Amino acid sequence: MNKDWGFKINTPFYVVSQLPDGRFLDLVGNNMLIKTRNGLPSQEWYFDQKTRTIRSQRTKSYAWTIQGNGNSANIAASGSNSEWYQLFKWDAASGSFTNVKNKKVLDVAGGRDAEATNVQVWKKNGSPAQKWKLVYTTDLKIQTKGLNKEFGLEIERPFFIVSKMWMNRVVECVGASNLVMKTLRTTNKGQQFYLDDKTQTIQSFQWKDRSITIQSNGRSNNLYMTTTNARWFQLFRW
Amino acid sequence: MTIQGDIDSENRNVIVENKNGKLGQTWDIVYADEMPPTPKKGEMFAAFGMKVDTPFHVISNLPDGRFLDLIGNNMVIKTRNGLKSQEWTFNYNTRTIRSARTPSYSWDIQNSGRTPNMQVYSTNSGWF
Repeated sequence: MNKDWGFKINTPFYVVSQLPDGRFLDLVGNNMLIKTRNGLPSQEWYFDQKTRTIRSQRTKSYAWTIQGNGNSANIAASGSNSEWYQLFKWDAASGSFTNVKNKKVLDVAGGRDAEATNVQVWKKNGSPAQKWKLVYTTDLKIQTKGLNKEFGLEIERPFFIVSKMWMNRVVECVGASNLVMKTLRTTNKGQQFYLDDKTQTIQSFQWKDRSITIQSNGRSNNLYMTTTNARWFQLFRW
Repeated sequence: MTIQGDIDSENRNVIVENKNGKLGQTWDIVYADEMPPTPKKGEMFAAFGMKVDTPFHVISNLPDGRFLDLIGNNMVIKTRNGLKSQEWTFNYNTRTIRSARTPSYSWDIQNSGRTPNMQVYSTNSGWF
């Protein structure tokens, strides 16, 4: 533990917003935003004792950085240089990450508790948008079975998606890609899906690395199955 | 999640669309270990109110109690005559009511549902 900076040394952790939906700090490209927990390294961070920076587990050479050499409000991840605009301390009592020089804190832009809202630094105002939890990955209590209340489905329990139209056909993943309506065959694993607790996506029971997805990164109206990435166009509630 | 065009047919594509409350957007989630078995011959299929593959007559409640019958492919009422043309069965796989006289034919609203006339026609499981 580095008590001066508030972190365990080189120990991966999540940064969880205290806004009601409890999204995780995530790295998309080089930008930092809040997203639903997805189990990917882009949501994991660690304190690097040597440089005193907070590094990304996804891209370990990258550290939290106030852009424009500290002159911007936006925070991103970039190559570690230990300049003041890369140095943040964690205060568990107030739930805030504070820059060592300008004293601005990590802040959800506009206090908007929505998927992929940008994260920035802002003058401390004590609002929930500036409050976080630091959860070491080994301490995260993951629900591995039972009902996931947020998504309305039982975790890892295979199900059929049955149309209420008169033939009661079911959704089937054909060729590990397209989703079409088919007559029920209970032994066909291509007709079974489950909520993956790690990524919170609906995955195919036959092709377990693929999730139901709105095609073209959400810009199409077609649904298909593709490699899981847990972005908003793969998140569905029942 | 929407069945494209609200068309209940095999291999119909699945898309996302703004919510419109139509049947093509309504679903059940049925966990695999709770999926009821396919009803067998003689068992009631409650959603359609008929026993599966079990012959029946359809009898008018008008005073003379005539039986539903077929003349050619057209549906009429006639006095009971013991012929297969007055027998029907509910088929689970197609969800149609089939003629015992011509089992590949099912009840059908003529012209794909655009007329009021009832006939039997080659089974296709269209809504009509």
